[in-house]
This record gives sequence, structure tokens and C-alpha cells, in this order.
Amino acid sequence: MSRQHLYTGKSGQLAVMAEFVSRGYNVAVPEVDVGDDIFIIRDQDGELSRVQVKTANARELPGGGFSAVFKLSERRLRTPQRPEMNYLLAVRYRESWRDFVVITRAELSEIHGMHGIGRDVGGSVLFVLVFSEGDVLCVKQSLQAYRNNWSKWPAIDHGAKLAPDFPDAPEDAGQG
Amino acid sequence: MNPLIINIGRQSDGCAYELDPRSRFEIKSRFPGLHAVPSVFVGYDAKTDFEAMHGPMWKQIAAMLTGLTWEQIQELGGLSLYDPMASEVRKVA
Repeated sequence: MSRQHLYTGKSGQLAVMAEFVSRGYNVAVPEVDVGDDIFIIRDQDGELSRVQVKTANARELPGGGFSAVFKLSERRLRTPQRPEMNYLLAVRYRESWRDFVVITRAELSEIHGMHGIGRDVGGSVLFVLVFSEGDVLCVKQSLQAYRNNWSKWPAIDHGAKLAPDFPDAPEDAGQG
Repeated sequence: MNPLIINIGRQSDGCAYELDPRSRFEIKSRFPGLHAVPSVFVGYDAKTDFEAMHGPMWKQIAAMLTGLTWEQIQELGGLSLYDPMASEVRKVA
């Protein structure tokens, strides 16, 4: 793996973590890298989600739109897990984060297995996604329903109300 | 005829079972409208208990995941469990 891949992968992971935090979820990174990239925790009840982030720099297509290639482990794609693992396919295009395809392992495994989408290459599966304004296609299979679909993690309102002048704070608060 | 395949994921506290998408496709094409659960998780105390504890339940688990009777599963070619992480295949029948 080239050094650039390390930077690209880490930047995608951080972009996804930022999105989860901005939606009101806590995030944690496993100390030992054995597949899961991020744990997402809903603080109120401790509900845990597992996320693996894959990042790709998209290429512009001659007819408009752009394409991105993701390489996933075939073994991990086929292995059922509890709690279920979620793939976050992060797409960077023209120096900004353009799209995130949010899909569970089971859904992507089904698309791969039942519809023959994705190319098996030496223990990995390559997915080539073509993005246009109104669709995301992997061969003929539309993944538009998964495009920026964060509905599994609705934004949490933590209800924090910090008045600009902190009227209830003791007079010596913040001093010393 | 190829046996139906159930993919398994063995964890520290139990095992997740899921019908392989290709087998699901085969069942759907032969038995349209069949209803089955997408996955099953069965616990155990220790990973070493897996075969002894879960083995007797595999036919029931297969029935839940396929919506088929055991006789129908046998007619389709039987059943194998596949552990992708270990690259292990277990023939159930």
C-alpha cells in the first residue's frame, strides 16, 4: 500500500467520524485494527453500530458525472455479524467530500451475491460506482437509495442551551 | 445439484447465520413468495461449544432462514455451512 493510500483512507475515516459527531453520536476507534474502523455509540442507551470506511478519489467521466472504485474483502463481506457491520463508502471528488454511500454488509452482500454486482479479484471484491446527479450505479444496479442515507442515525438534539452570557454561572466562574 | 449454503460468523458469544445470497436467489426463483428471516443469531457460552451446542439446531436454523421444510432442502441438494473467515465448509446433509 502506498503512503498516499494511508492518507486517503484516514481522511475518509475522519470525515465519516465528523459526520457522526455532528449528528450527535459518540465515536471510538478500535486500538487494534481487525476490520471495524469506527464504533458509533448512542450515548443515551449505549447502542453500538459498527462501521467500516472505504475511501476513494473519484475520477471525472467524459460524459459527465464521476466514478469511484472500492475494494472490499470478500470474506468480510460474506460473514454475518452481530451487531451488523455498515460500510461507509466515502467519495472524494474535486478536493471535497462529495458523497457517502451508506449500506449494511448484508445489503451489499446480497447485491453482490444475488445480482452478480462487483468483480471478484483474489479474495477481494471490486465495486465500481458511477455517480451522476440523480443516480449511483454499480453496473446496472442502482445504489441511489443508499446515497448519503444516514437515516439509521437520525440527528440527536442533545438540548444543550448555553446562553451567551451564562447568567446562572457563579460570579467567580472562569476566573483564576 | 449444489447444496444450499448458510454463511456463518462465529463470535465470542455466539454465531450469526445468514443464507448465502446465491442460495437465496435459487430459493426465490423456485419458491416465489416464500417468507423467511434474513438472519439468526444463536448464543453459546464458549466458542468451543459451537458444534456440540448448535449442531442439533442446524436443521431448524435452516428452516427459519429458507422458509423450507427439511425435505425440501434435501431435494434442493442438501445444506452446507460456510465460515468465510476460516474458509471452512461443513456439510450438514
